[in-house]
Amino acid sequence: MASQGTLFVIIASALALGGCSSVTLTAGANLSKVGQTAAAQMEQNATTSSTAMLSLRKAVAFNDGFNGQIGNPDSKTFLTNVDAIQSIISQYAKMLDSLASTYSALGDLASYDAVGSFNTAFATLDKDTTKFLQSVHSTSQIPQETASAVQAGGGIVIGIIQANKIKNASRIIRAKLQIIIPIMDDPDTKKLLILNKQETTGQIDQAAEALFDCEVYSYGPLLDDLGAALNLKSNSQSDGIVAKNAKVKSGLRNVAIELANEQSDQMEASYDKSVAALKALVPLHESLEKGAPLNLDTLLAITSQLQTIATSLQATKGK
Amino acid sequence: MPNTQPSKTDVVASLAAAADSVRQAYLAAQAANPAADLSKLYKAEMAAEAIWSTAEEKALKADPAVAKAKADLDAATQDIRNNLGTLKDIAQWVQLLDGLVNLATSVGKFFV
Repeated sequence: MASQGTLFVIIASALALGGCSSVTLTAGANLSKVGQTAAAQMEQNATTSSTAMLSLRKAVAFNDGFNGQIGNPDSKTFLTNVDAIQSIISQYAKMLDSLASTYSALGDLASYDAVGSFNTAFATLDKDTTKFLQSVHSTSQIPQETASAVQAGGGIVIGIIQANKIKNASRIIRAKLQIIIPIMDDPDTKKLLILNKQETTGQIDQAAEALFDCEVYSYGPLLDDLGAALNLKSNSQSDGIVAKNAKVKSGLRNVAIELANEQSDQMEASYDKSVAALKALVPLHESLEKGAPLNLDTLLAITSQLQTIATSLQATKGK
Repeated sequence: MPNTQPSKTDVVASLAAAADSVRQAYLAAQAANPAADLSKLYKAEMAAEAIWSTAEEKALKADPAVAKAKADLDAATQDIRNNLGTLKDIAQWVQLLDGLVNLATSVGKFFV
C-alpha cells in the first residue's frame, strides 16, 4: 500500500500531467479552428480559379464564332489543354477540402476523442494529396500513411492519452503539409494552377472587348463606378453619348481591361497567400507537439487577407 | 547569343508573351476597324495559344539550341509590341504574325 507521501506524489504528478494535457487539448481545438478556416478559404479561392476556367471556355467559343472559326483545330487544342489544367485545379481544391475536413476532425479528436473520424478524414487527405501531386507531375516521393493514422487504444488517465493522440495527429498532418508546401512553392506548379495571367484573361477580355466595340453593352456600370467618388450617376442618355464619343469610349474600354487585369492579379495574390497560410500552419503544429501554447496571429492575418481577396474577386466579377 | 540555358518556365513565359502579342495585334486591329474581317489574325492568335498551352504541361528538352530560338521569339514578340500603335494595314499584320507563329512553332518543338 502506498504511503501518504507516495500518494501525494502520484496525485501531484497526475495534476501536472493533466495540466499539460489540458494545454494540448486547447491547442488542438484552436489549431483545428484556424486550420479549417484557412484551408476552407484556400479552397474557395481555388474554386474561383476553376470558375474562371469555365469563363475562358465560353470566351473561346464566342471568339471562334465571332471570327468565323468554329471548329478551328488550334482552338480545340487550346481548350483540351485548358481542360487538363482545370482538372488539376479541381484536384487542388479537393485536396484543400480534405485538409479542411482533417482539421475539423482534429477538433473532434480534441473535444471527444473521435479517433475513427480523424483516421477516416486523414485517409481521404492522404489519397487526395497523392492524386494532386501526381496531377502536377511531381517527382517527390509520397510516403503513404497507414490506414489507422492515430491508434485508438485506451488508458486510465484519458486526458493524457488523448493529448498524445492529438500530438500524433498533428505530426502526421504536419508531415503532409511539408510534402505539399515545396510543390506549391515550385514556380511550375504555380503557373499550372493559376495559368498565365495574360492568357487566362486574354481570351475573356477579347470576347468582352469585341462586344464592347460592337456597342452591345450598357456603359452605365463603368460610368457609375468612375463617377462614384463625385456622387455622379449615368442616365438614360449616357449610352448614346458614349457611343458617339470615341475618346470616352476608348477610356471606358481601358477601364474595363484594367478591371479584368485586377481580377487576375488577385488570383495570383490568392495563390501566394494560400502557400503562406500552409507555411504558417507548420510552426503551429510544432508548438502543439511541444506542448506550448499557439500564437495564431500570423495565420489569422493571412486567412483574413485571403477572405479580403475572395470578397474583392467576387466584387470585380460583379462589375 | 545568350550563353545560359533558359528554364522551362522562361521558355513557356516567352511563348505566352508571343501569344499575348498576337492578341494585342488583333485587338489593336479590331479597335481601329471593328467591321474588318480579322479571321486570319485570329487564326494566328489561336495557333500561338495552342503552342503555348501545349508547352505548359510538357517538359523542356535539354537542347542548347532552345536559347537561340527563345531569343529570336522574344525579339519578334517585341517587334510586334513596338508596332502596335503604328501598323494599320491588316495584310502587314498577318505577315508579321505568321512569322511570329512560325518562330513559336520552332520553340514549341523543344518540348517533349
